[in-house]
Amino acid sequence: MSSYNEEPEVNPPKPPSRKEMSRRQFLTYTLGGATAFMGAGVILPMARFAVDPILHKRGEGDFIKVAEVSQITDVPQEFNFELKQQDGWYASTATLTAWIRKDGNGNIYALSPICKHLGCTVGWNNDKAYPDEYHCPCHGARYTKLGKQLAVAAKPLDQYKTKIDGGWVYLGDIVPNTEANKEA
Amino acid sequence: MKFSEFTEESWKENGEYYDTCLIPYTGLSGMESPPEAAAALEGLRDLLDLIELPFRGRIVIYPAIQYAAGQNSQYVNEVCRKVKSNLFQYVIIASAVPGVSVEDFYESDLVLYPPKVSTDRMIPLRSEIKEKIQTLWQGEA
Repeated sequence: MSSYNEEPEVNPPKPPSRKEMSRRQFLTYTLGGATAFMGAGVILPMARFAVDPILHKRGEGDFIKVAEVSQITDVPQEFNFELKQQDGWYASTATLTAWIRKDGNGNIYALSPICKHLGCTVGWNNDKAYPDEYHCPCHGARYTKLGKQLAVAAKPLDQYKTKIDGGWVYLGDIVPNTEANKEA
Repeated sequence: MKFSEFTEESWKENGEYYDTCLIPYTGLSGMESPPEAAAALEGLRDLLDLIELPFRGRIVIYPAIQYAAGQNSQYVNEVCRKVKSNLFQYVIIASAVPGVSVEDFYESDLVLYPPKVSTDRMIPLRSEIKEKIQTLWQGEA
């Protein structure tokens, strides 16, 4: 027969007891908590140190004062400037170069000198056979005044983000060239 | 670029463009005090920086030749000759100490020395070094 019809068992009444923590439990919780607290105090600073570079802002969008606007002409000029950089825990200063000019409308822009072929440094007007061009001394890559590639390299020279403030030219991150497309 | 920056694949792909090997030559005698040795090597490091950045797409910096063991120019010449016959068309020696020349290292094509100038002279010096290397490539050396 089904057990549903069976009479429920009657549990014998238990003696009333107080819900209190045993001495063993108290010691376990107290010592465990104290150990966890002290462990966290030791481990957390170490964990923070391990990921410290991640916690810092990369500094994207920082601009560096490079040249006076009055100095800029329609002929590209070379300007060197220093960039403080952080690679993990290693801080260093890199010397960067920009070729800065202004166009017919007075717009100022700056090109990176790093050749898009294999990374040599290009110069302006440094090959008598090809006047008024950027020329790479390594493998003969050539670029127009706006940075458009003419030989060897597959892409135009990159450019710096530019900001004009208080009569000074500020340069930021290196980005793909948008000026070269304006060239016919 | 430094030799260690190439992988087997990248060398197969672009190795033909890297025709110039640069060998750092520390040239120390062993008689130098630690500060003197450090100063010599720091000068050599500065020189390598001036060469590596403008020409990183054509020059490969190889491991250094350590010390000058008496008249070891024969040894350096032997290394230059092997490097040229095997992979490269040009060899440049970057020497930490002055006093050696292309005549000593006749298998090399150019010998350069560390800058002994203040920081504000570094940019003109960079131009001088660039000019020397470009002249070498243009066959006018």
